[in-house]
Amino acid sequence: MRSLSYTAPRTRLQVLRFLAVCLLLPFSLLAATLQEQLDQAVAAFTGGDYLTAYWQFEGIELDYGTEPEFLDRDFQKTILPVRAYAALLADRPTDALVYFAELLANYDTSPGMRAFALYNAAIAQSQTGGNAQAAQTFRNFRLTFPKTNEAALALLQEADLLYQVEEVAQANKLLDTFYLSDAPETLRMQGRLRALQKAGELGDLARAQKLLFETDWQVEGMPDIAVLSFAALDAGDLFLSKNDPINAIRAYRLTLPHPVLIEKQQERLFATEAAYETQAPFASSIWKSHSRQLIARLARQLESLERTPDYTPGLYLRTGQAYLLATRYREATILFREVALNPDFDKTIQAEAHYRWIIAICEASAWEEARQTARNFLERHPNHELANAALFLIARAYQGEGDYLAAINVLDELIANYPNDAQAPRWYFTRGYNYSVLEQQADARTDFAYVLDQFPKSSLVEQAALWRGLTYFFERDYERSLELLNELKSTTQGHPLYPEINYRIANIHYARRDYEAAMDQADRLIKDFPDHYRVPAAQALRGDIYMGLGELILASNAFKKVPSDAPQLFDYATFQAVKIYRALEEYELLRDHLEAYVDRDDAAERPRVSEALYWIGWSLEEENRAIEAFPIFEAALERFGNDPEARAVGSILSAYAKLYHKTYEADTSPSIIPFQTWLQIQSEKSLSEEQLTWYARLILFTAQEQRRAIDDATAEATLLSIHRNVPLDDQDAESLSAIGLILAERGYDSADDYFEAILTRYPKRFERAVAYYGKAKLAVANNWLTQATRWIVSFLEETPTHPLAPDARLLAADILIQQGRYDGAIATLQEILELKEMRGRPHARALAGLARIETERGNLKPAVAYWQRIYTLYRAYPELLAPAYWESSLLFEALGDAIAAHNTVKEMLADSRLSESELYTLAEDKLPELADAAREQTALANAATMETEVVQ
Amino acid sequence: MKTLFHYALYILLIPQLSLAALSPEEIVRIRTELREAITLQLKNGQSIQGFPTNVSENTIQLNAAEGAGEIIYRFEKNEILEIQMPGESYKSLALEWAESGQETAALDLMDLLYAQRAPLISYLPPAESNFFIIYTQLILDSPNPARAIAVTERLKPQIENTAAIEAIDDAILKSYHILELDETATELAEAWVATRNPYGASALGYYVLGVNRLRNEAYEEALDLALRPIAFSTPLKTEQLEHCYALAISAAFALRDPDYAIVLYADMNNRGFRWPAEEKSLQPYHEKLLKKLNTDASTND
Repeated sequence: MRSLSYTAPRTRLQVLRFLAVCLLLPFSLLAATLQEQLDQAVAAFTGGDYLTAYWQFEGIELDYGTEPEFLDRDFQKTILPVRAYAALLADRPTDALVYFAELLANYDTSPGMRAFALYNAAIAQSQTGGNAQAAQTFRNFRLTFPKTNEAALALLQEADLLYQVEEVAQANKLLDTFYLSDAPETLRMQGRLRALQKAGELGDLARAQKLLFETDWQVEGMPDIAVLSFAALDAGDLFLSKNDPINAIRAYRLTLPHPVLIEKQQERLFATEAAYETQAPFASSIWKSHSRQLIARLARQLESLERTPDYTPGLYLRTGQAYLLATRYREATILFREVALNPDFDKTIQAEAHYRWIIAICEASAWEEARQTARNFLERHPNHELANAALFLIARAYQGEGDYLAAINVLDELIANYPNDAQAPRWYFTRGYNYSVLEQQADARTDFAYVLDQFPKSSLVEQAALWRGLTYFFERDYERSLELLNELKSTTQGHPLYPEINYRIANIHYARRDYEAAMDQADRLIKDFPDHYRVPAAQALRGDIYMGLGELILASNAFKKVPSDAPQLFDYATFQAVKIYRALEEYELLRDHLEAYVDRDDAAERPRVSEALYWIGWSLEEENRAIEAFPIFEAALERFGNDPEARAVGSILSAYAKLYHKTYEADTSPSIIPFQTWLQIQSEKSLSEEQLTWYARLILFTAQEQRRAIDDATAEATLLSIHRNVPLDDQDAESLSAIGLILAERGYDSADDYFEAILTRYPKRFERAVAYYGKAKLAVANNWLTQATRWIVSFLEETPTHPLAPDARLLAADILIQQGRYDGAIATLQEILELKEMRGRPHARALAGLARIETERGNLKPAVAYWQRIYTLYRAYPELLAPAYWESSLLFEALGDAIAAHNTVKEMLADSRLSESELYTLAEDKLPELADAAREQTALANAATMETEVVQ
Repeated sequence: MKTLFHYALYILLIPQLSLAALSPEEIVRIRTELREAITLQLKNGQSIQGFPTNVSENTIQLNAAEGAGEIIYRFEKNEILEIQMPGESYKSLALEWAESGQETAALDLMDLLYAQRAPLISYLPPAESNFFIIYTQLILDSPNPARAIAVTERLKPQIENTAAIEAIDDAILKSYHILELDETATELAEAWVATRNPYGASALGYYVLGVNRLRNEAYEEALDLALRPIAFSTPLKTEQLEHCYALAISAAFALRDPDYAIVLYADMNNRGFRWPAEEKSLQPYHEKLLKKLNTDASTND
């Protein structure tokens, strides 16, 4: 790119000097008045008084227009560009156009002069409203003087004019091509910004997006950085309003904060001024004019920026909102927090940001932090209009944590203090919901009814009505529930809840065993709302209905219609169909059905593949075709055996073992080796071939067998060979759980590596329960009780049905005891005693826990009662009997009942199963002492009796 | 003559690019030149040439040749208007080399300039110290980055310009971080984070402090620190922003949130950033990331 250079007239002064020389000499003999008028015109032009200069030139023409000297071509060729330029700057573009046109049409000028005239003629055309012609003239200019900086300027002008005449596509194309050209970067950026602004003005979001994100914005050097900032801000707002948060974030990132923009704008202004000073002596008037305009524009922008209120907090709020919508809560939190806590920002906007900050934390389900942040809001902005909303978010946080009672307390406070608040319906509704979750359906109903009665125009009315109806359903009052939901249904057609109401009604009919009505509702839901999220559940319900009707074939067909993209329902339906095939003895169908399930691409992710394989094998066995089950199991083991991500391989192995044993027993062929031998060979082979996942699974299976057949110690010793031979990365979730648990029980910190591996690699598997429990156990061992509590809470919230649940609850009680929170511990242990599924050992351990607490509190008699319940009711657990006897005897002794203490120890020693316990030895040592004490007490008692008799 | 030598040197060294160091002869020659007399312009209008022999906080001793003998001058700092040092043009040459990728030669030359000027640095204008900030960067990138600490500590008191102070603070912090002097690096980073804007030209403090928190298993804090410059980033270049992305991804993995790590990685990629290979403590997480990407890719296949 080069710059146009031409000798005439480079600057206004040069033009005039040139004129003076040209005009003075040949016409010296002409009347002095012409010279005088020329002098005056020149003086006016020099002084920037273009209007006077214009009229001077007009006067000259009027006075001397017919004189040969005036008409002389050399004179005209010299005077025309100045006259035209004066007219242009005097806002006489029509005249300017005439003079430039005459010059261009009738005079052979230098290229520089021609460029000057052409460019300014185009400007004059645009000023006379001839935008299309002006665009054409600029186009001629750049074609005539290509590869110059001025051509680039002409192109920018041309594009602008094309936009004005609504030749948008042409203008866009021009600017797009220009961006890819080798024109100066600053000009290309200007062109790009113009295109971006225009796209924004025209609401062309796709083009704005393309321009904004596909341009390599040279922000470090571009002068118009403010234009980019504001264009990006506008685009961001547009994306946000169109619910496109990802692009909104990208756009907002192109916006500079207010103080930075001012600083950068200052830098750019200085740099542009410096460049102008450097380039001016060599630049064309067009370029200089452009530079002057640019400097003036930058100065204006800077001035305006300095006057503009700081938009930065608003920018951050909007960016935070975009992050929030994009579910990137952490970034949203950071942005809102910055605005909320920055004392330089306006208090109102701080409060707004603080409120959104709470929302962001709630969305991230960080409930405790959300509550703290909300409380902090109330402290900092107690009278703010959002204070109630913040309090509501505290309730929501409690609800999110499952602390429904606390949520209700906060909502009570809100309702009591602000009964007329616009948000009151939501508070009542939410309180009702929390009551319902707590199974306090009557209280829940009261709140739902209140919403319906007091806030009939609330948007929550339909939801409140639905939940009011459901409270009856939860209480098994199906008739009333149905009545209310039918009533609701009749008034909610077209409401988003309508399909949900239909689904619930179908369920109520099913619960009432009104299968026909239930089917009718389910069918209608599926037909009328085929895309509703309840459709898979409705399909499954149809299957259940048919089962209720005894229409098994129809039921199996209905279950088959449950789509696989609803994984849990799909698994449920698959195995419901299996139940039917089993009942119908349709083994072929059963196998086809399950083989299709097993062969699915996501089979390894299906939790019930092994069950499927088991039933396939079982069906073959039922048909006396057990031998055919082998290849199925073997193929499954071959397929999944060494894949640590595959689920249920252990179960497949169990099923295979069972089948193998059966076949082995039935087959006398010497070619079949015993299963234990097969297991041994496979284990050794897998280790030598470094099929380590498979090895770990075989060892795990072996250990499970040993636990059943030999004892725990042998099984655990076997399991530890996995710890020695198999790196963590090669172990599956089951193996990690088993080994981690053993190590944790033995107090090894290395167990934590196993738990970390489970949580990192299998964060959604059920085995994470072991990691939570194990981590809690390790934390207790280190006396990190708060941390331990956190892990236990995770366990109980996420995996309450895991087999370790009793252990987790007992551990929770232990933690509470260690913290001295006996009431909490007692509540936890009592809860265990109330759970039927925890009967047996967990109950006994809970009793032991209660006994210890009562002992700790000095309530010795209740403590004895707990221990007695253990050795009376739970005799199947010798490991629990020994401490129960022993502690009981000690308590009797402390209570001064030596006889009972003695009898208890005697009973303990009579049970030979307890002889391996350390306590047994202690009891043996203690027995003589207790015997003496008992004898003494008996003697005293006898003496007392005798005395009484004598007295009587 | 000196100018000719500069050009000759320049022409000779250009083809050897960044690997080229100054030859022993060239070093001797430049050093000789730099050891020539300095000129003190005094506020009283006098001008004295000589060799500084004893420079303390407030006085400077200058040995000036006088006939066959020598005069020893001693001037108070407040008497001196300006000091003119020989070899001024080498500064431009060093900068030119540094900017054109000839770091080794630039470092050699700056070593010589620094040796010449360091004793007088408190007497020279702040611009002189500003000049040496690039020297500290070159040292940090060299095989022996430890020297940067000493150099930066010496330069810092002379610097007045805010941007230059921030640059020198960055150099100091970077020095301690590279040298794994974690205790000091953490203290400096804490002060850094407390005083800088998250949308500034550098995210170094957030990064260094975040890495420290990651190492101490304070993953939430590490993630929050790393995300701050990301959340506030602007179209202007922010040094160490890619490091913050890597740190944030690592912290997300440590928090067992691989999906979020992938979101951040996609963001990082879209912005043209690459994983910084030099940070060893993030390497295990990089491996996790690659593994996750491979797994996701094979699942999608």
